[in-house]
Amino acid sequence: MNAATLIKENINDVKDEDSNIYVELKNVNKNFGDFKASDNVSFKVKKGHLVGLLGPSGSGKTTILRILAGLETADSGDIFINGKRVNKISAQKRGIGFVFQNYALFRYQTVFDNVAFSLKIEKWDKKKIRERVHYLLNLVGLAGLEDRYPNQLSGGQRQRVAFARALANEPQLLLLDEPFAAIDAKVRQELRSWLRELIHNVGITSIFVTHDQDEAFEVADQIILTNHGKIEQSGSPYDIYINPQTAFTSKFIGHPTLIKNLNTLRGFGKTPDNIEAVVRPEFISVARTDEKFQYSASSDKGVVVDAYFRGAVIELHVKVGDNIFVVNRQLAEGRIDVGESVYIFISRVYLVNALKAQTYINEALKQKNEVYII
Amino acid sequence: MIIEENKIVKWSLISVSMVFLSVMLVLPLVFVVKTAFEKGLPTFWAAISDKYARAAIWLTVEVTVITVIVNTFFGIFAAWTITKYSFRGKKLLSALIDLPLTISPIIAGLIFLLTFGRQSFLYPILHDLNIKIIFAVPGIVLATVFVTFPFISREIIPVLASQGKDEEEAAALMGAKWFRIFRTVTFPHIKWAFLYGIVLCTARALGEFGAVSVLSGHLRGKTNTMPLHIELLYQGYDFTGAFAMSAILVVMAIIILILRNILEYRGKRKLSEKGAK
Repeated sequence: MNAATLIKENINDVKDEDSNIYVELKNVNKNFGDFKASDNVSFKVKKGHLVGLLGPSGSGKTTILRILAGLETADSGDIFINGKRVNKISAQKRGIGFVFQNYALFRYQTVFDNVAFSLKIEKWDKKKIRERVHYLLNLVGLAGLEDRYPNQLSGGQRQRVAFARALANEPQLLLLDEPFAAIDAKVRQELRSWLRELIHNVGITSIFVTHDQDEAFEVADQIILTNHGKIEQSGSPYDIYINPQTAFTSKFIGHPTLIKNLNTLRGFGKTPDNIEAVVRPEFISVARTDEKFQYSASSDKGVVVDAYFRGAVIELHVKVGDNIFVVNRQLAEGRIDVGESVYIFISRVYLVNALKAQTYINEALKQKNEVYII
Repeated sequence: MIIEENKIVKWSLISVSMVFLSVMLVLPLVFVVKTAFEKGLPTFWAAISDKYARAAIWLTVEVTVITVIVNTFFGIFAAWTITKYSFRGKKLLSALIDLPLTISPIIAGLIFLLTFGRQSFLYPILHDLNIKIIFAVPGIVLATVFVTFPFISREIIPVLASQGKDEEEAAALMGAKWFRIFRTVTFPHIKWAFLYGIVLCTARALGEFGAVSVLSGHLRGKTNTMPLHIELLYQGYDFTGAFAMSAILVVMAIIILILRNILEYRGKRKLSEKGAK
């Protein structure tokens, strides 16, 4: 293969990558007075992907969604949908399906009229409207409720109507603002998998906003993490979870605890003094002092100061020196009570400075098996 | 119950209210009607079918209709602007809408007199264009519009504000233009509050005296509205005539009161119907 064909192939690669991008934001900024709601936001979303915009409340995720929809205008930056710059195109003409946080169903219209709204605007034939609405209500499992008004429906049913309404005129992009926030926990679980399956079946590119990381990890193909109006990190749920790149990501994802004086702990002696580090419960294993423990040589001894029974696991708070570590022990591994002495072994921590986070694996694991990856 | 029911307290409060309302409201109304018919039906009829009386009734109806139409549009636009957009000076605009409620009507009249009267810099222009505002019907309409313009917008604003912008935004995202959004999404919401506002506006417009008194010029048969005509008759010791006209205004007011209650009742029932099913 000569250099020319190599370059050509590279160009093709780039082209292929670009043609697969459905939504792109480039350096988008938006201020509300002194408040920076979007601070140089850039990201790409692949066609057909289901993307979760995750972040604490006030981190600017809803603003991004509203800018995409055309409900807010960006102060600067470019918004591309399907390769076309849409900054100057009004919300009416962007052809986006939008599900509002509290659904925004038309209170004075029936379920049928709600779903048929966009079709009437597009002047569909009456018979076709009826067919389409029935098809959609079947799809979301609400057949037979056409004549109900929104306040005669349960929260879950309303969400399904909102979803059917947003899909009615076959938009190419679906935006969902906290789609599960107003639903009680039990129904939420059920709706999550339902929505994920449905969106993948319909094959529509979708972006949803959530502050709930469990939700984002469970539903999304790609997660975009926001904080203070900035994009912190973007990637697959697995990547975001296991390889946090920034201080914020490492402290936001999972249930992290801060570690003081990391180099006093076994297996982390080579780290510098006073470095900030975090660890998550899933990277700590625990054993009673009388139990056989694989890494006993590189474990730290501590005392259980609190124990919470959570059903499948027991959450233990173990005091080692100045630190209190949160550890989950499987119920099947046997009980450990408050006051007992235990060994804990920490397999990985994240070293954090003002800008970046870096994964650091326990020295014991590195020595035993260089290619060991958790 | 939060307040323990004490029969003595309850009944004494009820009787105080009843006595107060009887003395302040019912008695005067009965007296108005009684005086109007004191000298018999023919006199009453003569008093209200008099040329000037008819002109006054007609003018009042005319002014009221124009006022309500103007304020309907203004009220909806103002309420929409205040609740659906955010902009600099929104609070000021909102406060200005309430101005007619706090300002004495007679001052409102004087303001217009200064704005459009002979002293005004606008006067030569209006004169050249042959537009008469002061001491003419346009002046009366202006004064009435000014005094009554908060009524419709103030009824609609709370309803619109509580609704938020979500439904309108949802409609816009589905491609709806503003008129369709207003017709199919916003209006059903505000319908009852809006009709209620119209009723209040009508009632106030019918009875407006102060501002109109300054601007009308009291030209019998030309710029005298019913309240002005009543005053004129009263000043001329024509008590039967004054009270006959008053009786008509009272009847109009009662009709409006009944309408108001029907609207309120229907508005409530409509809501509970949709909730109950």
